[in-house]
Amino acid sequence: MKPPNFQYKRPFSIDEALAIIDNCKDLDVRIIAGGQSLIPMMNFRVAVPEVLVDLGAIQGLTTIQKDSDFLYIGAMATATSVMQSDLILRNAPLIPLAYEHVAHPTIRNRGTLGGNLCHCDPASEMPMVMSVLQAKLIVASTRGVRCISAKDFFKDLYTTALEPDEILTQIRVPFASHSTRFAFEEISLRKGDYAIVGIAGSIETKQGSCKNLRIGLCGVSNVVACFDQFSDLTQGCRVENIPTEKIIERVRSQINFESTASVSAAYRKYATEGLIRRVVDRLRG
Amino acid sequence: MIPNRKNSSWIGASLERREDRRLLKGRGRFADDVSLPRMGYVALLPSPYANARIKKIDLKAAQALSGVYLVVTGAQFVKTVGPMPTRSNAPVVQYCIAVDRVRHVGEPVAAVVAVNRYIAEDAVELIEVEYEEYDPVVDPMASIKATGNGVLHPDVGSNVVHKSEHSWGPLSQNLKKAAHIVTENFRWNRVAPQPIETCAAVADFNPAGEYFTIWSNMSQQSIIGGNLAISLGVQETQVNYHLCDVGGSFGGKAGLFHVPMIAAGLARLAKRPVKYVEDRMEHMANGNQNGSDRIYTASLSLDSDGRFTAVIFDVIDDFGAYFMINTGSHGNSLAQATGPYDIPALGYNLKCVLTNKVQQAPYRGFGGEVANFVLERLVDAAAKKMNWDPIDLRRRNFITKDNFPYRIPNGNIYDSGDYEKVLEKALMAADLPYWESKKKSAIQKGKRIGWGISTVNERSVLSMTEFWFLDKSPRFPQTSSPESVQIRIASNGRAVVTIYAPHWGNSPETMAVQLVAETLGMHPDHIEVNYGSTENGMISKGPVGSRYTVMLAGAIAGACKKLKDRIFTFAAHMLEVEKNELVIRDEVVSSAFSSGSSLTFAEISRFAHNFRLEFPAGEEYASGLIAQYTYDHPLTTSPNPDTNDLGIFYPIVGHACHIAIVEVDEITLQTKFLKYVAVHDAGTIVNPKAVAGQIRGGIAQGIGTALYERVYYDDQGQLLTVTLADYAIPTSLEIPDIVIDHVETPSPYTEYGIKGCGEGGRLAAMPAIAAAIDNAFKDKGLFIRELPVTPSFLYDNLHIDD
Repeated sequence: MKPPNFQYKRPFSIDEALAIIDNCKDLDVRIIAGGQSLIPMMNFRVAVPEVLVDLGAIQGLTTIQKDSDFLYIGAMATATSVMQSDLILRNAPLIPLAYEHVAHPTIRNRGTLGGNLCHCDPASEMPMVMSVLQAKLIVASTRGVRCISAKDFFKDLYTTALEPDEILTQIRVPFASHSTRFAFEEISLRKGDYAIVGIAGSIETKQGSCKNLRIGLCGVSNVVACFDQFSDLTQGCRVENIPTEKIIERVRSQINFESTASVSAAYRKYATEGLIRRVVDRLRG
Repeated sequence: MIPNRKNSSWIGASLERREDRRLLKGRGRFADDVSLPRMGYVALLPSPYANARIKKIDLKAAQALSGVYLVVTGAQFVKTVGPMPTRSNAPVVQYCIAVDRVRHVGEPVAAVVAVNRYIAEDAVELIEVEYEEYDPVVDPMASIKATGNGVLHPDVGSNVVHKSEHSWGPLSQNLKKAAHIVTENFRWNRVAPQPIETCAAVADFNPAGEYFTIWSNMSQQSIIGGNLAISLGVQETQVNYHLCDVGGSFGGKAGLFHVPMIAAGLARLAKRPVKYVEDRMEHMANGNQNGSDRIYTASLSLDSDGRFTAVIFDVIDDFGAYFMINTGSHGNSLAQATGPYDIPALGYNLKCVLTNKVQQAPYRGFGGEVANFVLERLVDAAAKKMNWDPIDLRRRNFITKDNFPYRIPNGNIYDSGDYEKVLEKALMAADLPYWESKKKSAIQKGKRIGWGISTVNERSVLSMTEFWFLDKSPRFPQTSSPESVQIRIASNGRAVVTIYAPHWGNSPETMAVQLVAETLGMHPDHIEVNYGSTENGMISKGPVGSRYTVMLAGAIAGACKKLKDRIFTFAAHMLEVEKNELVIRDEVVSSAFSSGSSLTFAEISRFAHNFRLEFPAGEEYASGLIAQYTYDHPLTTSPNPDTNDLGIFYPIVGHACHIAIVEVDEITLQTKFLKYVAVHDAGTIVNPKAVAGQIRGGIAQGIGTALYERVYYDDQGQLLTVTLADYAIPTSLEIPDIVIDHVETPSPYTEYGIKGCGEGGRLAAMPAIAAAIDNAFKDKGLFIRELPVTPSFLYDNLHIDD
């Protein structure tokens, strides 16, 4: 469990990092953030980069700020710092709620939000949470800066919309209005394990009626799953009356539950239904 | 802080562990801390197939890599290093690097020694192997009938490597007369100890004296020294084996030693010191450290009064690809096969089979925990079937305290016990009526509360006969399991105790300190402990089968008796009194009869070491104060060759009652502990805190076995659990606070009445947890026959949708 040889670069600015990537066009370059997924993959020789670009020395990539519309989370902010940020707790409470289920303190102290999103593991909580929150991801390359919505960013298993020469620099999370409700539930075998199933829900309420119900799932399918096609079910509905069973049915019908060595498809389906019910009940208040 | 206890009161004190001083300061010395000049690092090429013939191995590219010292195949290695020692009968041959054939995924096929582990792994990737794949044999039932390439060891002829049927006591009569017979099937899945420190060895070979020096965390050094030497083709006096601190064994490091053997063999070939440390994947796939893997049909018969009249076990055990431990773990299951109950008849029918998986080794319980689980489940099944209270049914069948020593049908005896008292204490602490009263309100919150109880025995102080007494013609019918100690009073009056067993995370030094303090009347701060390597060593079996403290106490008592005599010889002359009137109190020797002068240990020892001419001529005044003692098992007897009497082989028998109270979430089906009570009787307790640690650790592993852990192989024999993310050991977040209490029924056969307690937590936990989950789903008629009870397993067994 040792990686083969690789070049290690530690730039001090984004521009320098981008220049390194540009200069290594013919090589397999990987960006390393907290290394909590990449280093084990390298040790197992599943990932075999020739050049490793460490973003750890770049100033300004860990800041968490806000303006009147967005929270701005630096891609290198650690899970712990995001989890403990008052700004985030007040304006996007789903994030710390979900982080309670992510790994353990030692991993959260090193693992970063940006690295977690770029790894794009559909069993992981944050890609799904960012989809539910309709976050925007800011990526930079020598060609310029672009903004990708979470929905478009998470493409497939371990696959994002990032081009090989791009670096994720910031995550923008729209403010939750005071009338938005959130809920998060998860089952894992042990505390901190990958989810057998994890469910995030959010719904906006206005004078009693609701809109924009979104339900995200992790652990149950091979892609980052966020469902938002519920308007026909929730249209004009008071939040306490949203039709739980129909919502469950709609989500369930779009998932192909599969068995793994230790978790049967039947249980996964049962638990998913049960957790969606809990999440929706919580949203109903 | 050491409590202020004077003269003969160190047994029973919760002294801080002596081992912790260095471990907590980061100054432990583990095998991986050993570094020698010119040392090379080993990496092994693992087999990707479960069952295959090795057709061709090309080492050229690996050999050409810069930084590589040596690359060898199994066929080359075996020219200088013979097969691994085995207790199997007839021998199932196992090489530490495969020769011609691989029999499980992860079995090493070639080895590299390089300037560092990184380059060694680079070289491993360059080795090219051509295999001829055979169909893997994964299912033990299919393995029984396998033919052709499905037979793992063609020279053995069959995958069934042991088959025997035994009955003791009036079995058929009692079954015939029985008012009720409950029969159940059980599946005991593979788990593994997974210590935090994998197996490791550093080996050096000195060609001048043809002498091996080995530092390793594997095995019981003074036992393996000889076996390792045989495999290395040298005399055992040409091997010196050093003990290291060990990051956990739990039995797994007791048996096999392919790790030191590979390191030693490669060191000789590479002509330089070599380090081999398993990584986690290697440990999981090739550590040779999985526990029992059994399929049971078991029956318990009862008379109309609810008294147990017979128990019978039909067992098929999947040992994996090799059979190093022979039927030892079944000997162990037989040590307390009738549990704490008065059951006059016992049947045991055994089939041991081989499959394409890594082989078994001892794991805390060594089969005893499996038999306890099955028997306790049978008792619960009987209670359920007859609608009896499971506690009353147990109580009704307990061996009563005036019936000891008690002989069980197969010949083993239980020395002492008071099971009723243990049960009463546990019930008091658990307060079951309270939890019964909480059940209704919990249901309204979507939670189910359940409680379960186990009352089991804790056999301790193993005898070697269990490894072979089921064999028709045992190959090496070993009967010795001694333990030794050397105690020296230095010229300053302080004691230095040398022990020969490894420190596996237990507390051998603390035990030695307390036992010497008690026996010699010394202050613990005046006692040092060190470890003897094999070349300086005495004979030792080490900490297996919950034996070490009992055996060490015997050895220390013997050595202290000799030492006291030496001290009194010198003191009597110096004080001008008779030897037999001398007494020791707090390291001071004085006459019991006169209130005259006295001498400290320091004063006596200074003279004994430096002033020979102050004493008369004669051997009894020879300089120095040193004593050695080897203590043999206090009570074992030889088994009968026809197995109708297995003899006394595990007579020091403790007892435990565990009560688990769980809460299961209706939606997630996750099990959480509301309370866990463990009352143990391990005889006289040397250090209550250390005993509590053993109990807690055993329960933590028991919870792992009951709820989380399982080694998964797929139908191609591919190992699916190769990391600690896949193999789910519970963390501190899953383990509840455990209420621990003790009863002390001294053993009549051991020094101070001590009994072993190293495995008790895991010998008792699983049946209590299974019963608690049953109880939570009483209305659904749930009965757990297999572990671990994961949420998914529970769902699939409840058939909620039906």
